[in-house]
Amino acid sequence: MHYVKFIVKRFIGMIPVILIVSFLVFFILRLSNVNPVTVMIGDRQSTEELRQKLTKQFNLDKPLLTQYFIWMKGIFTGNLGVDYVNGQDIVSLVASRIPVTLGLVVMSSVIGMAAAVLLGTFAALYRGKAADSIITVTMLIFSSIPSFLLSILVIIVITEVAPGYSFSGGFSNIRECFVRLIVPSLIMALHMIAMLGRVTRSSMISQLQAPYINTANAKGISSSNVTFKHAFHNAVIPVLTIAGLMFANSIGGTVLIEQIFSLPGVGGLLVTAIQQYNYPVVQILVLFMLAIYLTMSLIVDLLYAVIDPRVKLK
Amino acid sequence: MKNVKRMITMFMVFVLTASSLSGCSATSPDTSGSPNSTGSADASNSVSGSGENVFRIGYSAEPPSFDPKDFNTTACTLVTYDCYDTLLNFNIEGTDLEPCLAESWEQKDDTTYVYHIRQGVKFSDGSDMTMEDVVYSMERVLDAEYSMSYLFENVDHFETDEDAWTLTVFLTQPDTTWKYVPATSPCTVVRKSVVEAEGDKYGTADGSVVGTGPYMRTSWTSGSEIVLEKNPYYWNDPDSLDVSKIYYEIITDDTSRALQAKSGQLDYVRNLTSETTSIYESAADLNLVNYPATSAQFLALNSDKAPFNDENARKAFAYCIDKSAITSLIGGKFATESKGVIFNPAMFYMDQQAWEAADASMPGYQQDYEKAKEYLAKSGYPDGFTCDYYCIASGVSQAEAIQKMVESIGITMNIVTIQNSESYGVSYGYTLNEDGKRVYDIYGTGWVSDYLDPIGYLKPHYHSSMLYAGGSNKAQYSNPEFDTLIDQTYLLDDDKERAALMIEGATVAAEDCPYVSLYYKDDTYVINKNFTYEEGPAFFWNFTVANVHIAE
Repeated sequence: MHYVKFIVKRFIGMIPVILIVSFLVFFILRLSNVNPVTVMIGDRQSTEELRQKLTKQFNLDKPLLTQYFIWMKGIFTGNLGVDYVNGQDIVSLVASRIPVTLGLVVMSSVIGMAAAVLLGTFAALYRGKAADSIITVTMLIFSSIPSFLLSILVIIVITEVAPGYSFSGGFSNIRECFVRLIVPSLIMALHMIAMLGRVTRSSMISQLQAPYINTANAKGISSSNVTFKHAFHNAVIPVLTIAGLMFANSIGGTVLIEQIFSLPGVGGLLVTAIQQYNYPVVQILVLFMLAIYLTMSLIVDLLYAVIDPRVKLK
Repeated sequence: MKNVKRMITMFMVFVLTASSLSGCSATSPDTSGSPNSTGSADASNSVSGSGENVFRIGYSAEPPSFDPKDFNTTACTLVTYDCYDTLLNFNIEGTDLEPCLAESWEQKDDTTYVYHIRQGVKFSDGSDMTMEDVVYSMERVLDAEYSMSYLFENVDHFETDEDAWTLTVFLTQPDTTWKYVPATSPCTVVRKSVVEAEGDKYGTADGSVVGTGPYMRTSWTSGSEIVLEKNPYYWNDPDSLDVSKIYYEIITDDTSRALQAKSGQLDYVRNLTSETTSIYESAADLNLVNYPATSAQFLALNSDKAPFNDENARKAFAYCIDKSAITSLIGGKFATESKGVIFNPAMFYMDQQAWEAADASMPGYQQDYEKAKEYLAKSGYPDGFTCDYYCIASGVSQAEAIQKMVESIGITMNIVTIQNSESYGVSYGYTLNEDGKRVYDIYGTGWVSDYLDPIGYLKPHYHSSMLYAGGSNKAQYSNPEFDTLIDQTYLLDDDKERAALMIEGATVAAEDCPYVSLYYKDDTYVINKNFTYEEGPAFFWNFTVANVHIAE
């Protein structure tokens, strides 16, 4: 039962964070001297009549605080109105972009974490040998190449080697999604492998050197049992912390990757919205990213308790 | 306890799997209309054996919507125009008009034009186009929210005769350029009942699109891809269309777009940046085509306030600028330095010889520091002055080059970078300073004429009727002599006579130096060698995949 209590407590704890951030985002955006009405009118003729109509329609004549409460009310009722630039319904606009970003993040995280743990453990077991050196050096190289640079290099190579591979297109079936997402996912995963693999390796090494391993070995427990049941179990805890944070951070990391691979995700939408002063879209995306971050840290905390029995959820 | 842990683990695995699966079903709502949609991953061969010819267009942005009221960007030209027809079309040279939804037309008097509407035209939903739809579509343009309503500036009202299938346009004043307007996007015909029923939703990704054009929209995955297929009810013989399916791919990154075109994933790309031209040139399957366009780049010197209300100050500034350096550094490979008036010589067609002679004899304001110093000494600021140069981020490198050029005679030029969203308000005079004047001293920008007629440059930039807030006279220039000459061209029909008046006007304007012309540019696009296609200066209004054919 205390799981449920813990989760409920954490969710309640998120509310003030979200409220403070929503307040900051809303008012910081309004510090800019760009008038929302100019953004909405764009290249159309700016008549007094049109300006007044838009001012009224978007409640811009009301005080900022009132506008903030109207927006907050919209969040709870699921009615966020339309965006400033194209007049599209914000809820459906953002909702249409979420699956691609989540798909990208989940795919890269699953690949990245699995490979990182495997490679890190492998390197730790063969510490000081050739295999270890190769893995460590490769990881060092990949963790120091920025992923946008790697993306452009990969695109150049792919267009030369496999000109049939398409970087554009729709997402109407699973095959298409997989084709579109696999390359950017691998690039994002590579960065994760490089960072996480090194953590796994060092954590695993410190566990393998711990006195309880000697005890286990002395008791005659099989070496695979010692490595994977005893050492690995303990080594994976710090890995989990970093993995959770990396997963949450990779939501932000998708911004560049989505631009380069022209994926219709949240990151690309955020960049365009910022460039266009499309405030309502920026606001809701910042809150969305915050919510993902908070949820991920909650999941990581829960996983601690699952993996490490000493951790008590309070 | 162990079971609870297990359940949580299972739950989380489920959540992760479910979310990654849902990542694979991001389809736009209207895909359901096209069960045959195969996705471009299957369509990597443009010309497949099955008889389905696919044409893939790559561009950096998506259109704001498919509603003609939002048409104002190249993205609209490339994908949305294909779903609609206008009353008339431009010919390939851009100088004359051809019938489209109007079979014929005539000018009754100076201010009355009659259009005979084609009968038997069907919309893509199978319904008949009526005179009610035609007049509804025209009257919509008079609404201020219609983005290109300025083209209807001189329209007084419309009248229709349902039995005779005629649309009569009454203008408020004689306007020779009205004849081009029926071929532009405001004269697009939409279906009244659908547009009225859907309201703001019409043409968006969630709404529908109903037009009479050769193709119809079957899906729009926001931020990614738009698919058009043949309109089975197309009035002008659907069999004449070689391309059966159009994929419009939105690829924001210039380099990725170029590389995709190179690898054969795109058949048509335009607006090539100078950084990526070499990638397109190195692609064996692509033809790089140049054609004369109507664009030109220039600086507007605000003559409404100090220092540029002083003609000598304007000339001193103009004589500092090394146009050939700007042309090659900023304009790139396909740019040519221009003379005294902002213009694209593609528009000299009315009387080529006279225009060229006049262009050669006008003051060209090529860099000459001696003259610059001479004019500065004559001006009210013999020791130099300070001025503000406004531009958007992409224009900063040009501004910096100019800043250095004018420095040496004592002109201090501050560069003010504004956001793209502010640029319209600043350059069209909606953003004013405390004296009620436009904020910039210099505005660095470009122009694409709505039509090939030279009046498309002369009137918007030099005529005093364009000084108002929202007017395109960015230099705030006014000269009654020029106005009289240009006003007369609106009353004449003969091209030679009109050209003579315009040349005289242009010469007057060049002497006053309200603008510094920099360079003009050809338009460039790449197209896969499997296709043939011809493009002309009226590209913005005329582009349609119906004109793209399979190469022999």
